[in-house]
Amino acid sequence: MSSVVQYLLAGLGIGGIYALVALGFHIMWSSAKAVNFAHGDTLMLGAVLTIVFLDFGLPMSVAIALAIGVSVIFGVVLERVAIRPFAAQARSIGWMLTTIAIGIMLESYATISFGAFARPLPSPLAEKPVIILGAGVFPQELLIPLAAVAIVGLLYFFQRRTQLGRAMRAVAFNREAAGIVGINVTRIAMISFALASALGGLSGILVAPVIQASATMGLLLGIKGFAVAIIGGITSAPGVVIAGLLYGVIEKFVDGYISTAAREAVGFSIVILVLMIWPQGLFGRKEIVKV
Amino acid sequence: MMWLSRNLNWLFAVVAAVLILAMPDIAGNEYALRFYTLMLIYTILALGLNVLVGYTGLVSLGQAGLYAIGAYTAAILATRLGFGFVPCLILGMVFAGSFGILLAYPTVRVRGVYLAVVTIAFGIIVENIAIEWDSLTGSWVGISNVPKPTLLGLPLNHKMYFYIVGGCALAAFAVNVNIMNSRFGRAMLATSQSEIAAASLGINVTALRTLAFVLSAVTAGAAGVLYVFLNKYISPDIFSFSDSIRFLLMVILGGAGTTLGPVVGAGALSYLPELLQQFGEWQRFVYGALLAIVMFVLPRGIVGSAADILHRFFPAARRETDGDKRPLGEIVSIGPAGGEVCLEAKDLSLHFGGLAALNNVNAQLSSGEIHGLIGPNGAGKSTLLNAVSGIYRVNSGRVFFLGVDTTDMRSHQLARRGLARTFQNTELFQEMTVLDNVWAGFHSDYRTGLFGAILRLPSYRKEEEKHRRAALDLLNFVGLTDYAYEKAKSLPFGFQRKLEIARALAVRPKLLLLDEPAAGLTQSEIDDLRDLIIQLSDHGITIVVVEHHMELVMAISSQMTVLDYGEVIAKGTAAEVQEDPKVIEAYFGSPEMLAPPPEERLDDAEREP
Amino acid sequence: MNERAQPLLEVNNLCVSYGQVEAVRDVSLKVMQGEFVSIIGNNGSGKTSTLKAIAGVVKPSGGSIRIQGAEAQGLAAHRVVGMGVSLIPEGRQIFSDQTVDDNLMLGAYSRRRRDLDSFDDDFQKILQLFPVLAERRRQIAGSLSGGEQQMLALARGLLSRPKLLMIDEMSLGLAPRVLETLFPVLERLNREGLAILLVEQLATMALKVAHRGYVFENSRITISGSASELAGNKQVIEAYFGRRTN
Repeated sequence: MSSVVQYLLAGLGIGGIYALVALGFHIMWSSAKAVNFAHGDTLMLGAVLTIVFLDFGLPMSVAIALAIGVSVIFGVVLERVAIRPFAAQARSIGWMLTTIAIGIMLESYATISFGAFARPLPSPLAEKPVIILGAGVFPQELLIPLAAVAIVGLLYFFQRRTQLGRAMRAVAFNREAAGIVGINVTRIAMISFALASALGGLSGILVAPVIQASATMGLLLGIKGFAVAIIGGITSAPGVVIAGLLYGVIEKFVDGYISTAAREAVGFSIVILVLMIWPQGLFGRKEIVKV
Repeated sequence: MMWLSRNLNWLFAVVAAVLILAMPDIAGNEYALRFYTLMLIYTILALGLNVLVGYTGLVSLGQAGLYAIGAYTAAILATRLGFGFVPCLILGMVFAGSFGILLAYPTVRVRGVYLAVVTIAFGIIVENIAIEWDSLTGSWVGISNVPKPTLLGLPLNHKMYFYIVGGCALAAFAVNVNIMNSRFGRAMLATSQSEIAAASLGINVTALRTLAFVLSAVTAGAAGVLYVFLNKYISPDIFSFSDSIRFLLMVILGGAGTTLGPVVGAGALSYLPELLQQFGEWQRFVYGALLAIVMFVLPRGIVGSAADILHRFFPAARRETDGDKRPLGEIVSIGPAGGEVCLEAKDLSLHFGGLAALNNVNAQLSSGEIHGLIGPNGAGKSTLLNAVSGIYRVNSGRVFFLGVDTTDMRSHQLARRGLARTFQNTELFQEMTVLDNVWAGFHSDYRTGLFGAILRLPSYRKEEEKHRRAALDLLNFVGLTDYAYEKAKSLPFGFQRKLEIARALAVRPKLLLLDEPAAGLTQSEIDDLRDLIIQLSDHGITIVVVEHHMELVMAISSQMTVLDYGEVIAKGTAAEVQEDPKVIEAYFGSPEMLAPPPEERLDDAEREP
Repeated sequence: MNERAQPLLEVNNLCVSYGQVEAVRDVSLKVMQGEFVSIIGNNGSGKTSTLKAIAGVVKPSGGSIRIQGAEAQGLAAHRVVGMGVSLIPEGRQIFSDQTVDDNLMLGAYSRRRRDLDSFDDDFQKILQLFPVLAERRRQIAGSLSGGEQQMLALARGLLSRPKLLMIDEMSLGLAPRVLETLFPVLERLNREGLAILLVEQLATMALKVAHRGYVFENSRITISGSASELAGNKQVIEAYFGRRTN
C-alpha cells in the first residue's frame, strides 16, 4: 500500500513538470503552429539563472522573479527571430532547425558560464520528506502537481474571463477570423511565447530542487514534455496536463514494479501505441481535409 | 552549361571517385583517414535519410535508432558468433530495414508533428534498450573487440576499408540519383506535395511511404555496420536523440530533396567540429550560431538555395520536348467504357458532425456524356465528387463505377480502374516540372520494379522513355510543350488548369471529374477549355463538370444535376434546369427575378442618400 | 448623390491574385455614409476576394482602398477594424469552441478602454436586436443552429462599432425562413445610420433591401446601378446562368 502511494505521489511530482512543459508547447502551438525545440532549454534557463542569482546574494523571491523574467525575454526573442520568419510558409519546417540551433547555443553558453556539473537548487521544501500514508515524499514533489493543476486552472480562468485570454483562444481556433474581429495576431503570438517561456522557466525552478540543475537538464524534460503534449492532443490544454500527470505516474510505477531500466522504453512505447490508436492524441481535435 | 547541369550528378560522382582513390595519400596519417571514413559513413546515412525527408516529406527524428540497430546487429554477430564483415553488413541492413517497415506502419494514420514524435520515441526506445539490455549490449561499457573487417578472407587495412566505405557511399549516391530520377522518385515527390492528388493518379501512398522508410532504414543500418568495423567499439552514447537531430540537420542544411545536398550536409557537419576546435569551449556555441545563420541566408539548404540562385541566372535548359505528337486516342488508348451506366450514386448520405453535406443523393451517369453538376455555394457538389472518388467515406448509400460496387475503395484503386479527377483549387505538384507532373501520372502503368529502376536495367529505361514520350504527347495535346521543363508553380494559372487535366489523362480515364475547371480563368481561356472538354468527350471519355461558370456548363452539358442543401433538386437538360423554378429559387432566393420589377421598388432611387 | 460628401469606402482599380490566379480585376466601387449597397453575382466571380481585400485579410496586388479618405490598402486586418470597417465573413467563422458571450466580448476587442464604458449599452442593444442570443449566452457557440450562428457573427461584428458593416454571403446554408428574419434586421440597422456592403448570391433578396448594387462576373464588375434598375434586369440573369442556350 505505502509503495503504491509512494509511486503515485512521486509520479505526480515529475508528471506535474511534464504537464507544465507540455502546456508551454500547447500554448506556442496554438498561436504559431510551430514547435519550439529549445523549450527544454527554457527550463534550464530558469533553474540555472535562479542559482546564479542566489550566488549573487539575491533573496530567493527576487532570484526567481528575475530568472522567469529572463526566460520570458528569451521566449519573445526566439519567437521573433526563429519562428515568425518561417510561419508564413505553410509546409516550412525551418523553425525546427532554427529553434534547435538556438537551443544548442543556449545550452553550450550555459555549460561555459555555469559549468558542466549539476547543482541542487536549495529549497526549504526539499530538505525533509514528509510521510503520507506510509510514503515519504518531499513537499516540493507535492507542490509541483498542485502548481500544475493550479496553473491550468488559472489559464482556464484567464482564457474565459479576460479579453487577452479569449483572443488567444480565438487565434488558436481561427487566425483569419481573429484578425477580422480586430485581434493583432502577431502580438498574440508574441504574448503566447512569453507566457509559455514563463511557464518553462517556472517549471525549471520547481523541478531543480528534486533533480538538480545543469546545463543539459532541459533535453530529456523537453523531449518528454513535447511527447506528452502530442499524446495529450496538442490542441487541448486540459488534455496535455492530464497526459503529463498520467505519464509521470506510469513512469514511477514502471520504475517500481518492472525496473528503472525499462522506464524510457515502456514510456515511449506507450507514446507510440497511443498515437497509433488516437492519431491526433487523446484529446486532440480532428481536422477535415478539404479539396 | 546545358550538358553540365544535366550531368552534374555523374560528373560529381566521377570527381568524388577520384578523390576517394587519392584520399589515403592526401590524408597522410591514420587519424585523418579515419576521419574521412567517418565522413563517408555519415554521407551514406544522410543520403538514405534524404529519401525519407527530402523526397517523401516525412521527418524522422529517430534515425540514430536505425543506425544503432545496424551497428549492434553487426557488433553482436561479429563478437558472439564470429560472423565476417560481409554477412554482418547484409544482416545489419536487413534487420534495420525490417524496423523501417515497423516504423512506416504508423504513417498510415499519424501525420506531421505527431509522426515526428513517433520517430523520436522509436529512437529513444532503441537507445534505452541498448543501455539496459546489459547481457546483449554491454550497457554503457558497450561492445569492444570487434574483429578487423575481412573481405573474402583477406584482412582489410585502413586504406582498403576506406575504399570499401567509399564504394558504398558512391553506390548510395547512385541509388539516390537513380531513385530520384525514376517513377519512384517522382511518386515520392508527388506524395509529399499533394497526397490527395498523388492518390488520385493511382499512386499507393502507403506503399510508397513504407518504401521510403525501408530505404532510409537500410542505409542507416549499413552505415551502422560500417561504423562498427571502423571503430571496433560501440556504446549507447553515439546513438542518442542529439545524434538523430544531427543526422536530420545534415539533410536539411545540405538541402533536403536535392541529390547533392546530403553529401554536402554530411561533409559540412562532420568537418565543422574540426574547424571550430579553435574556438575551444565556444565550439558548440559557434556551431549553433552557424546553423541558425545558414538557415536564414539559405532557407532551402546549401545546395537547394544555390540551385535556386543558379536557376535564376541559367533558366531551365531546354531539352527535347517533341515526343511523337501522337493524337490523344493513341497516347492513352481509351477504349469504349463498358456498359451503359458509367457511374451511379445510390442514396448517398454524408455528415460532417451534425451537418448533412449530402442527403440521400441519387444520380446516374451514362457512358460518353458530359454531365454538369451545379448548385449554389455550399450545396455539396465538391463533397459529392470527393465521395465518389474515394476521398471521403460516405455514411450510407452505395457507389457503382462501371457496374462494380466501389463504395469502399480508396482513391488510388479507383484511379487504376479509370476514374480521374481535377481539383477545385488545383492540386498540382508545384515544385516538380510540368513534364514530371504528367509523368508521375503514369506511375501505376510501369511493369518494372524498384530494382530495375535502381540498376537502370534496359527494360526499365525503355519503359521510362515510353512514358516520357507519352507525357510529352499529352503536353502537346493541351498545348504546354514549351513549358515542359518549367516548375508547375511558375505557370500562368490558366495553364495550371490545363496541366492538371493533362495529368489526369495519364491514368487513361474512362470517367473524368472536373471540379470547377473554369474558376480563375479569363474568357478566352474558358473558350479553350470548352473546346478541350468537347475534344475529350469525342474520344469517349465520360465527363462530369462541377462549375459555376454557367455559360460554359450550359453549353457543353448533355445532362445536368442540380444540388441544393445536399439534395438533388433538379435533373435534366440545360434548358430544362434553367427554367426550373426550384433552380431559379436556389440561385436567386426567389423566382421573382424573372418577373419585371414591381412598381413600388422604383421609389428606391429616392432612398439613396 | 452629394458630390462633395466624402465616401465612407472608396475602392479604385482593386486587383487581387492568389499566386497565378487573378481573383479580382480592376474593381472600383464606393459606399457612402449610411448607404446600403449589395454586390451580387455567381460564386467564384470575385465578390468574396474583394471584401477580403478591403478587410485586410488578403493583400491586394494593385489598386487603392480608402476608408473615410485614409489609405487602407495592405493594412493588417485588425487595423481595418480600428478604422471602422467590420467584416462578417463567409461561413460565419465564429469561434465555435467559445461561448456566445465570449464571442460577443471578442467583437469588442478593438475598442479602446475608454469606449468600453458604452459597451454595456451596446451589448444590451445587440441582445435586443437578436433576442435568441440572449437566451443562449452561456452556450458554446458551435452548438447554435446555422441561423443563430449567423446572428452571432452579425452581433460580433456590430460590437466593434463599425461605420461600415461588410457581410459576405449571409444566406449561405440558411433556410429561406431564417433569411426572412435576418434581412429586416439589416434594414433596421441601415435606417439607424449604419452603412452596409452586402455580398450575396441571392439577388432578389439582396436588391430588395439595398439602394444600389454591383454585379460581379468573372472577377470584375459588369453592371452597376440602383437596386431597382438591377432587379429584373435580364443581364443580371445572364450573369448567373450565361447566355440562354435555347
